[in-house]
Amino acid sequence: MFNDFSFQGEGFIKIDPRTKMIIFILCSIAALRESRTLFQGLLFFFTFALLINGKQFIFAIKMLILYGVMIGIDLLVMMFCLPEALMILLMGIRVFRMFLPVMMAFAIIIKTTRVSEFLAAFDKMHVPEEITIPFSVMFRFFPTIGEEWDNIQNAMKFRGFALTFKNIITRPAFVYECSIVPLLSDTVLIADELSAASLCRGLGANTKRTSLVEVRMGVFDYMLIGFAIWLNIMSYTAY
Amino acid sequence: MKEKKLQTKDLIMAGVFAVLYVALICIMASLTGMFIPVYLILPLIAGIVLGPVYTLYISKVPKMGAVLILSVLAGFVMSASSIVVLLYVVVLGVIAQIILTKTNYSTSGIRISYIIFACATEGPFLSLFFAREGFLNTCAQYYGQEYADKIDAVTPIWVLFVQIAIALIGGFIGGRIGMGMNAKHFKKAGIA
Amino acid sequence: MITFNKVSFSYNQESTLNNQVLSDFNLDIKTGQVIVITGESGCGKTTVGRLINGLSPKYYQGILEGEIEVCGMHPNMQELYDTAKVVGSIFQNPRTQFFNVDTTSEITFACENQGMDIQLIKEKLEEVVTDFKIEDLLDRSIFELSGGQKQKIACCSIAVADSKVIVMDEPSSNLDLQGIDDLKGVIEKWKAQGKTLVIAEHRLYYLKDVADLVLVMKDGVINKIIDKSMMNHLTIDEMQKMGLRSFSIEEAFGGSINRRQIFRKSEAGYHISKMKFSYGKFAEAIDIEDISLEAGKITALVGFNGAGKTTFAKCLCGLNKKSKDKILKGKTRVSKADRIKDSFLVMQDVNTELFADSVLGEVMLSLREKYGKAFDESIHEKEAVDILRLMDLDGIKDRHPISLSGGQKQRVAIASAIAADKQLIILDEPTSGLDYKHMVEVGNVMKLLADMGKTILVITHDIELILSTVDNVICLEKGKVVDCYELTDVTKHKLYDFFYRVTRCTRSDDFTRDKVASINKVEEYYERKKVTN
Repeated sequence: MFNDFSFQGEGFIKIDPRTKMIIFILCSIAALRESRTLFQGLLFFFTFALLINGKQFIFAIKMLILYGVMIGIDLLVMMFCLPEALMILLMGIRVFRMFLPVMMAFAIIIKTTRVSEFLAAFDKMHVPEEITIPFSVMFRFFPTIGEEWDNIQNAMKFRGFALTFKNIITRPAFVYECSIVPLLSDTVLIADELSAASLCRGLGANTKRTSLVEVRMGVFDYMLIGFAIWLNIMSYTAY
Repeated sequence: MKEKKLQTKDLIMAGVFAVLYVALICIMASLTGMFIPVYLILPLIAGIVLGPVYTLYISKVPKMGAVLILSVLAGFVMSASSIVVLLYVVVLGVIAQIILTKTNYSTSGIRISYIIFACATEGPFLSLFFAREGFLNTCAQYYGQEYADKIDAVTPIWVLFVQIAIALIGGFIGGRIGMGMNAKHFKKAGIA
Repeated sequence: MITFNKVSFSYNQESTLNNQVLSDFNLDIKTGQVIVITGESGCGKTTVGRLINGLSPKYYQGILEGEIEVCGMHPNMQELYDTAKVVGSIFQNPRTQFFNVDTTSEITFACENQGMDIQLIKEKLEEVVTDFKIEDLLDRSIFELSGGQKQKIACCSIAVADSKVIVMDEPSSNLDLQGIDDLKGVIEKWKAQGKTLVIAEHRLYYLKDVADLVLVMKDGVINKIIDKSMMNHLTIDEMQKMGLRSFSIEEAFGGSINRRQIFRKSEAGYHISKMKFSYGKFAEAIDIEDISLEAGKITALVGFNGAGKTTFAKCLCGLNKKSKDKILKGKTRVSKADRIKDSFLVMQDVNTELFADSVLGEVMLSLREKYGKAFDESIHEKEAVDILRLMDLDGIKDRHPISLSGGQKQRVAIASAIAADKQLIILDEPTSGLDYKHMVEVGNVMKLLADMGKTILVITHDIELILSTVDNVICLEKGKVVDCYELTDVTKHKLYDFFYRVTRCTRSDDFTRDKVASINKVEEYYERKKVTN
């Protein structure tokens, strides 16, 4: 599950990280306002196309199937009359459907952007170092924490107190302490070493950082943003 | 405790703790995800489980802005469903930071600030309730007011307040456990 | 170039003679010299490196007396990022020294931090890429790389920044023999370029040809200076007396092997047949027909990086749910769940295996699991203390396990395994980064365990450890057992041939081997991803 938060590969057409963030924000605003099938569908296919552009085929197709199933359930329920009890389920499905494009837009940010691209984009947005450094450390650390967690779970299996359903029910405090203490102490130790190594590479120097990776907004970026804005305006004016 | 400016090593520590924070939420969600009733009390569980992460972080980086950074990063990742969550979490972060500064990082100050910050895990649920309004509006237009009222009736808003209440309780317990764990393990091990 | 004038350093806030890591330390290094600093753990060699790159006292705080000068600068009096422009550093754990997720960003990271012109960085990057032949390593995720490849990236990052002085802190401890050989190549290259190198290291054999001087430290002072001519004359016994590792592998093989007396043979060993495991569709990561692990004996598992040693260990102790196997203990077949109960894996990174708030508590945890309801704190504490005494830990039984040294942590983990009555104990690279004395200690612990009738499997490429402790050797290559023999004076040439092949002949087929290793890594990576998705 931790690999969901890491860079997976570059897309066909490169999109500026800033564009991705703007699209994400616009999508979340649109999702809050709009739930009619036509615009929702447009929003979905917009983010779907972006996922395909980002070569996230498996994830995109999973989302497509999920969306199709949810539409299908909706249609089925509409065809037959609604029993009261099913309504809450339907409500849940519809709300989830509204959020699907936003989650996909988020996945585009996370999965198709390199940490160095993030840094370069943040630099252009004049985001202070206090955010950019922790931000890049966060993405670097997700897989590391995943490894640590796996190792701790393995060690707990050997010792006889694995994080199993039975143990969580019968002695929650104990297994909780056993998982969290090594996790915290070990990551702090790793972080200490990482700090030392980074400082030795001149991180935090008072000179302005340069970046080998260039980010530039192209025509394509403006088109995407324009489309997302149009979707937003439509969702407001269509009332 | 004297507050100093955040140094590079503090920023790295902030990033690491943000990962811990988010990763543990993911782990909890995957462990409890199968049981929807348990999922609804996630703010309580998360409040308890994340207590040690917060308290250890504060004792490692007792500086102005540390909680704010944590809230921005954790808020960003939690905002996968809506950008509103980020704003919500950052507001909590600001409040927690003010409490910490005012109480000068005393034990009770850390615990009170965590009670506030524990509400952050309510964020993803909050976005559902933001969406609810918009959803009901369109429902009313398309399927009639009656239908919208029915939906309104079966999705009570008080769940939200209950969740915030249990998040506060979770924060209370979590802060206590966190301080305890700091004394029992991390101070003794020389890492706090 | 680098001078230390009457330098004393202590990590505590008050500096007394007792807690000084360095005391009245003098050193004069000239431009272009390669200086190796060695000595037992805790002798202060790491601190010397830290004082040169400024980490002490700027990051690891402490009290410094005396004067340090590096290229006309005083690292203790200026900011770390100013020192970083001149001094490059390489650390022992490649896993924790990367800031970026992809290799290219990591290589240019130092330059970017200095605000160097982009065009200049590009030129330097190209130069280094052709110089170090790392075209295939560019633009990769660092999580796919082997330890050796990671250390190579770290070296490239320093090469791009063009540091005049390079400080290395035990750079080989997480590398296999191939990685060490690559590292040696890099050091030779830097020496030819006239860079000044200070290397704190236990393993000396790979540095013999490049080192100008080897300084042996003890208790914060230089105890002995070994120059070029002495390196060839020192015998292995003299080195071992100083607690040092030998200067040549060949010499280590020269001594005769002392066969260990086997006391007990009653316990049943493990018999593994038809073990199969694969990460993806392409190749079997593990494919083992038939192999035995004898109880009461120490078996070494040797092989290339990526040969599947750790994967095999995980399959053996039942952690890999997807492996297909038939494992007999004695005559009864043991399931994966039984194996988890019956075995213990001491990982390279022991931190993740310690849970309690004291050493004693750690052992008590195991006892509590073993006795279940019959557990009584007061009765079983005596048993726990006995086990701690056995592991030489009774003096530190109230300390927090995390605060101990690496070797002590390892022993705590083993003590908990003994308490839980584990029969199969697997150690993954237990002696990487240990000096001779501590290596012997680990060897003795393994012998002790074997004498208790336990089955010991040790994954290692530490030749000195194998020669001094191991009974049987299993060679693994591409997931298959290629050789398996009892280690005696007669068979030791096989082991030598195996390592000889690794260290001397792989430069030519370097690329193909790395490819196999990285394909396996990549498959493992994607497999994980699939599972977690």
